[in-house]
Amino acid sequence: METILIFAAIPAAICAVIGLLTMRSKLTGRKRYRPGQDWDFPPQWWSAHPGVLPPAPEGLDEFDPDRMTVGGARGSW
Amino acid sequence: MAAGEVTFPKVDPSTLEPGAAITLSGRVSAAKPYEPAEPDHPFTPAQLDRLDEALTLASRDTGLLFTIYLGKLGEDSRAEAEQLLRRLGKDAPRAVLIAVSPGERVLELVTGEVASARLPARACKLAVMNMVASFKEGDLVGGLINGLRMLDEQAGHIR
Repeated sequence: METILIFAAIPAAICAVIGLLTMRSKLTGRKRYRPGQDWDFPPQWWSAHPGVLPPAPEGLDEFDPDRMTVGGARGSW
Repeated sequence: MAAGEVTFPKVDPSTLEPGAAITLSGRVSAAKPYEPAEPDHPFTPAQLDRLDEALTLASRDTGLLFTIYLGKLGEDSRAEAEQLLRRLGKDAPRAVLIAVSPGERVLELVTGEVASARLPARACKLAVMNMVASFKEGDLVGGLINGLRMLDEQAGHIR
């Protein structure tokens, strides 16, 4: 009886604890994004607090937002 | 009827919704099941905090308005992203928009005319490649923060 307790019950208990620890994030965490998954959240648009931006440099008004040239890059995964 | 007495319109008990009852005074009392609000995004508060810090640092250092859009971009993702940038109005020329559509697996980086002068196409491509590498692993916040840091460094400090 004692042998079974030491050699079977204790290792089984340790395995269960470690198993639970690895499952913890899956059981309690929010569902996280994985590539290929649908994204059915409403659109979000974030920026820094406007107060941290330095005052607009001179000549910024000369550009027409609707007609200015834009640059950048694109990518997909 | 006495002055000041509260009256309620007559309600037919058969038209009541489940969980509703007419009290002795004639008022309808209804119990509603509690429905927790669905989150708007799958991020933890700590992740949002890091993202906000990265946005703040990048904007403060460079004097460019960094923004992040997360959501559907549609068929013509480039045009949609450019439209979003132009919608920023008078700040649009010095704005940098990182538009990510995780559902369509598309990333669009759009820079306004003033921002383009600070961020050449090569720098933009590098940042995009870096972000895409993280997004491939499913790490949206990590990719966005890395991208913001790279763009911040490339654009340099405001004089």
